[in-house]
Amino acid sequence: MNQRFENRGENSPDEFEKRLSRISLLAPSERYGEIPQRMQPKEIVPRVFPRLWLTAGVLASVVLLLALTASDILNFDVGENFGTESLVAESNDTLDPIQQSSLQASQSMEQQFVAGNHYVELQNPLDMSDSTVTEVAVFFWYPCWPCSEFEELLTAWEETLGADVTLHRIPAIWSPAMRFHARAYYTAQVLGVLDRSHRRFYTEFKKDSETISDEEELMQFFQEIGISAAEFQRAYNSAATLESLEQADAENFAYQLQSTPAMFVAGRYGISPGGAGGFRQMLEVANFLIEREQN
Amino acid sequence: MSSTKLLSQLAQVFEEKQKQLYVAALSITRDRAAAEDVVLDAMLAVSELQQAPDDLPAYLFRTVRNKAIYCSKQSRRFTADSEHPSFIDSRSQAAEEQIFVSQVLKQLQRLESNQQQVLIMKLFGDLTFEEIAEVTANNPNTVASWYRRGLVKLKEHIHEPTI
Repeated sequence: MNQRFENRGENSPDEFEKRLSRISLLAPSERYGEIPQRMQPKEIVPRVFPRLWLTAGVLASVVLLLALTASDILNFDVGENFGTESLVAESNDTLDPIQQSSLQASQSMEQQFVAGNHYVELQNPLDMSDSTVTEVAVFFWYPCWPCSEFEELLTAWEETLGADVTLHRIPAIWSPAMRFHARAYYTAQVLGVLDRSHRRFYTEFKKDSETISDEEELMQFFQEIGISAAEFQRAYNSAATLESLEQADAENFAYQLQSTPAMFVAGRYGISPGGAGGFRQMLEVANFLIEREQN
Repeated sequence: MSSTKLLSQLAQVFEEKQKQLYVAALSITRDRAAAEDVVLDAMLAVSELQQAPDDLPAYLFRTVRNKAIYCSKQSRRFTADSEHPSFIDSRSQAAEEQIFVSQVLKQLQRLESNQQQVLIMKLFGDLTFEEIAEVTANNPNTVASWYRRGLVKLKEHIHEPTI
């Protein structure tokens, strides 16, 4: 028993600790070590004579297409009432000019922003049925420079939001270091000093030249912005901060977060800079999705 | 990264970390079957991602812990008064030791959840502080601090049987 502690360079346990360490967990069952069949990586088996089959497939497709073209199957009459243009025209005729303009703009945006391209629809959307406002969640990470650049636009965009939309910033947490950065954010939130710290943290937590790397240095930062050591300790170790971290953990998981910055609208749509085509475009897509949710 | 590559990497992580994954889940669910199910569910969930996370082990640990928390809230099966806790190996224990174990599990409930989990993982699950830090996405010093404080409180609460 002592060997287990000594080998790790840990302090020698007292009798109580030794007695506790004699308690063992139930070992997992035999099935535990088996990876499910559907998760087993499948070997890619090269097909025999792939070029031959590919050529035959292409030829067959061409023959079929020619045969269909020559037949009457393709020659059908749509008729006046099957085209969507006529339906839209009819509905447009009953709208006033402002509504028509809005409809045309939204139709234009529908064509401009495509699901699966500019944004994604979550496979497991969050249940927001209890919410009376449209929630926009934004995930960030302080050392992430795109997040830093996006923050400026995001702050300005936040000013334009109506009372029926809330913006909820959530730190990404994938590692102990990220958890520390998240804890700094929530500590500042508890202390009510996010306006003095949030933007500065993007500089202080830079990847290559991290000036704040532990609790002591974080406390010094808060002292610089007028928070005493005692106030910092209380907030850093407070239940509110720790609960916020747990909540952020759950939200990171619920949204299946994989990169930052990332936006999620109404718990159903995800937007990334790559998909949207840029930071400004992310906000345009967000506006579009918010409007869709509220209409 | 292709799906096949993700599955291969996932299988490798599972092979290297299966004990830590199991202990991490068990420290929350307090039930062997539930812990195994949680790890399996987490593996399946991660295997279906369209894009592999940057840090696959950390992502998997976080997924396991979140699923375990959800599972324990749903089932609420753990009771401190249980004579046969479904996560402790009591086969070789004498009657006196079983009484001690029951007391320990009962008093464990009075600790903060992070202290409970760290004590279970460290003392019963035999994980190192570094391993627990990886599992919980914290630094080893924080984990060690939780452990020490939890141990002190547990000792204060425990009434050892007189011999």
